[in-house]
Amino acid sequence: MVTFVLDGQTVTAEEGWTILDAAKYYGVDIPTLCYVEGLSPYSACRICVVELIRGKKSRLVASCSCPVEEGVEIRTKSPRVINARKMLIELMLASTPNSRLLQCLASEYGVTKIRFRPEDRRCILCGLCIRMCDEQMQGGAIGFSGRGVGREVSMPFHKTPEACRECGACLYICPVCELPCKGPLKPGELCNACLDTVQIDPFPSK
Amino acid sequence: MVQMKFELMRDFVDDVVNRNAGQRSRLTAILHEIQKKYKYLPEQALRYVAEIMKIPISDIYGVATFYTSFSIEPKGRHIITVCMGTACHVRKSPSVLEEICRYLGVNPGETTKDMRFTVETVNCLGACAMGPIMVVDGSYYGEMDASKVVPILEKYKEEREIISVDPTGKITIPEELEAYRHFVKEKRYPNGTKSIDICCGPGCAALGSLEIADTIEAALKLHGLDGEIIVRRTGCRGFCERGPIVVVKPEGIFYNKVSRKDAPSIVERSVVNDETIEPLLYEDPSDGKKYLREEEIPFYKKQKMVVLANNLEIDSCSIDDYIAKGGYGALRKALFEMSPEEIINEVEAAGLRGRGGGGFPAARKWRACRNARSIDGVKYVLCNADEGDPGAFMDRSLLEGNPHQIIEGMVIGAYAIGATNGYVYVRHEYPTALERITFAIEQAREKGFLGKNILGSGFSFDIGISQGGGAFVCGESTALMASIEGRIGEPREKYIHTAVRGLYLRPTNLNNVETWANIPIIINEGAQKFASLGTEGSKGTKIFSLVGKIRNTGLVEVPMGITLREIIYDIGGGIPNNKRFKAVQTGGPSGGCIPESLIDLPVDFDRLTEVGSMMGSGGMIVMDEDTCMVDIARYFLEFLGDESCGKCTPCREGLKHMTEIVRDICQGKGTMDQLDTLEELAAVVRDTSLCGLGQTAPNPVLSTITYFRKEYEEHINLKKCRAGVCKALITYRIDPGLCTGCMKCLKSCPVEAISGERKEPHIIYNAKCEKCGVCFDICQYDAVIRE
Repeated sequence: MVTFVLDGQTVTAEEGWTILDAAKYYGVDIPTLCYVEGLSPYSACRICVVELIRGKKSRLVASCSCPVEEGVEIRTKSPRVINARKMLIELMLASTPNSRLLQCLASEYGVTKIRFRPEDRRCILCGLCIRMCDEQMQGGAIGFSGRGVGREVSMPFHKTPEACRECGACLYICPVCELPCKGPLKPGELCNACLDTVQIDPFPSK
Repeated sequence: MVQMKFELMRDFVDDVVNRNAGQRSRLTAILHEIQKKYKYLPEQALRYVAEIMKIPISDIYGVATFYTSFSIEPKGRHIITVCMGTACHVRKSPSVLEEICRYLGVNPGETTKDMRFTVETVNCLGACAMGPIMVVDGSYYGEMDASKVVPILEKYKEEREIISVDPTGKITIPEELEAYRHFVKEKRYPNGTKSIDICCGPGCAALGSLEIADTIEAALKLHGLDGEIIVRRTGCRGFCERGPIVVVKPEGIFYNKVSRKDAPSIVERSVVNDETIEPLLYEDPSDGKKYLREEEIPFYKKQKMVVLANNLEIDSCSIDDYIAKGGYGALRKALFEMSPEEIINEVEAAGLRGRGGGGFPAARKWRACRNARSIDGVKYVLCNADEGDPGAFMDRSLLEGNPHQIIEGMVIGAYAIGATNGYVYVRHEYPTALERITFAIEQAREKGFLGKNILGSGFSFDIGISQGGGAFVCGESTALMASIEGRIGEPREKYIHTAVRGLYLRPTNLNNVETWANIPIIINEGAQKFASLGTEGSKGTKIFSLVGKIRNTGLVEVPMGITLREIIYDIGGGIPNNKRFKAVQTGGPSGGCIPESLIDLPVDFDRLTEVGSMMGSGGMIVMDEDTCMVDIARYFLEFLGDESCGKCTPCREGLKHMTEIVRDICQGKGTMDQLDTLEELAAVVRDTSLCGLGQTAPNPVLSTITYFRKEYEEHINLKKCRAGVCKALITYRIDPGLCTGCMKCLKSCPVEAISGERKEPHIIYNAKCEKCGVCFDICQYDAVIRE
């Protein structure tokens, strides 16, 4: 067993657990986008970052893949974490405005303005669909192509491959397919419908 | 005497078995012959005997282990036998044995680490009258006492056996290496010091040094000197600004800017007639002083060539050159005189930090990898030759100039770590480097420095080549490993270090080219000497590529802790064209810009990090007053945005928006709010990115904002670019008072934006002007004004 501090509480977890596993076990909420139980962690969206403090050193780590460690302190809602998540939400919304999940996160974290040049790329490149297709459906029909900003989820040569059984698992797992409450939004617009009703609790459940 | 010795073990066994008619009853005789030849019974030999005699290997193993005169462990070349019979015992043979063991540092039955002596005991030699008795290789030493031991053994220790070498064969025992070295020096290069060295580094080669080398060779032939004087095509000598470079040795006469026409006269005048050719000598542009020898030139004088030293001495395609210069001596020392732990301790004591950028202590990484468990015993050592930083070429020069030093370092590292396989990951953009290192690996394998049972030590290790495909991010360790595995070069989280789970999920140690090249030096010269150079936290030397707005462009190797001023002014010769120094960018795209106010900063890992830059792989780009710092930030952001793999949000999206903001500022469309957003975004990108590329990507922006905030503000508030680089913020006009109407600018303008009559002042039409600056550069009367 590994003993460490999670948001002020001394807790224990099994060796090999990730910080996210432990947080879930203790009922501490950490948002995730590119992580789903049952698929391998990918650590790409970075929304699940938490602050890991070892001695005097502190850094942000992706809780979905970082294993728990003896004697460390983990803060899931420190100002540094909240700031980072806010910026990440803003960045993702700038390119993917019509995602209910992202718009809700924006309300929750109080993101009320997008300061970046918006566009609609309709994908946050979390790769869940790819891993779902490959790991759960044994399909391997889709993958990433290109790199950097030009990266996209695609079928080889943009043709439906034989491996695709049209099972729809990719659609099912996609975190950004659902429209926000206020319907289709233009790039740069924010839903903020429930801005004042859901706010993150700075003091997590004790 | 050089004679053929190399023989395949199988041929030898075949011969022995045949001579004994392959009879089972002759088995012990056969084993004795094998034992006599190899001093022990190698497993391979026994397996082969079983195969050809059709006897189960278990039977042979039984026989080999039953009789005490056989050994399946390798034995030393000298076997010391001490008689422990009763008669000898009462005459104090145990004290003789003790003394032998003390002197050699082994226990009875053991072999010394250098494979020179094995100490054995025997229960009576039947020579009791002479007791106590010691036998060394069949020579009897009677009436021994402890005091006689050392002088006798000393004889065997000092004695240099005549080891025969086959110049084309594998080197199978360490002594053969020394014999081969001797052979190379004596036979192959009888006039070893007489040579004409032609720099064939990338810079000089581009200027035709390869043809010069051919011409010189032809000229030597013409004078009948082709056997006497060696023509060496060496690696980069650093002084690329002055290429092509030819050095006549042993005098060390340094000719610069040599053309093909000069080549025959170098042979005629400088070699045959012992003259010097004045016009080809180096002339210092600042004072016009001429220099004869390489080491006297100011560019070289302040340098401390340690890693690059052999670049100046050896032909980059010749393993013999490398061996003649003591090459692979460190490997021999490591394999036969040091334990893996001792090697790691030595590297630790030397204080070697990774030269690839991070500056992580090499020994710590090695130890972690050594201690890591591998499910099937496979561990990897990798060489990162994916030198992607624009403006850096020290790794390329080492790979091309002296590939064997890198290989030697890797084998030593592999032995220390316990690795079985290695890879050199070379970027696709370096075809020559790829060719050279591939060739060098083949040579090393042929000579027995790679492959099974290296130099007869029992340690096996081999190196493969992996080629990049044009992706900067593949210099990151996990991306590099993914790329070697044939996947997208995409980094992954390193919460479990690659030393524990790296390439193919096995413990893996990755070091950069320059780091590996330092290893043989540390082993050869010792940690203490290595650590005598440098600063508290950074030991040894570092190679920098000095480029940009600097007089002496090239590669320089300096001790850690030298100041920027010394590098830029003393070695680099300062800024050309009487311009003012503004900043120096270190550490590649992940580094930062260091302003003039910090020019006396000592250069080492920690100091550079403190001021917001980093050592990186050692690119040093000098900028003068004509460089716009906002434009530089934009350049690096665009580069990194292009090279981002696109996996994690902050790097992919963050860099895109950072680039947009800086681009706005360059175009005069930026606001102060955007500058704040930029800083905020940069901090998050640094904090949350997955790999080193993203985590360090904001450095160029943050460091330029820290030191040159004023320039950003000028761009935003005054819409002014003081360096005259950002096109949207500058206009050109002609001062009618100064213009003579020479029509030069008019004729050179590519878009015909200038009009005017001869001897009348010209006019620039701003609507048409593309702001290329050709008129500004060409005007001799300073009449074109940039605002």
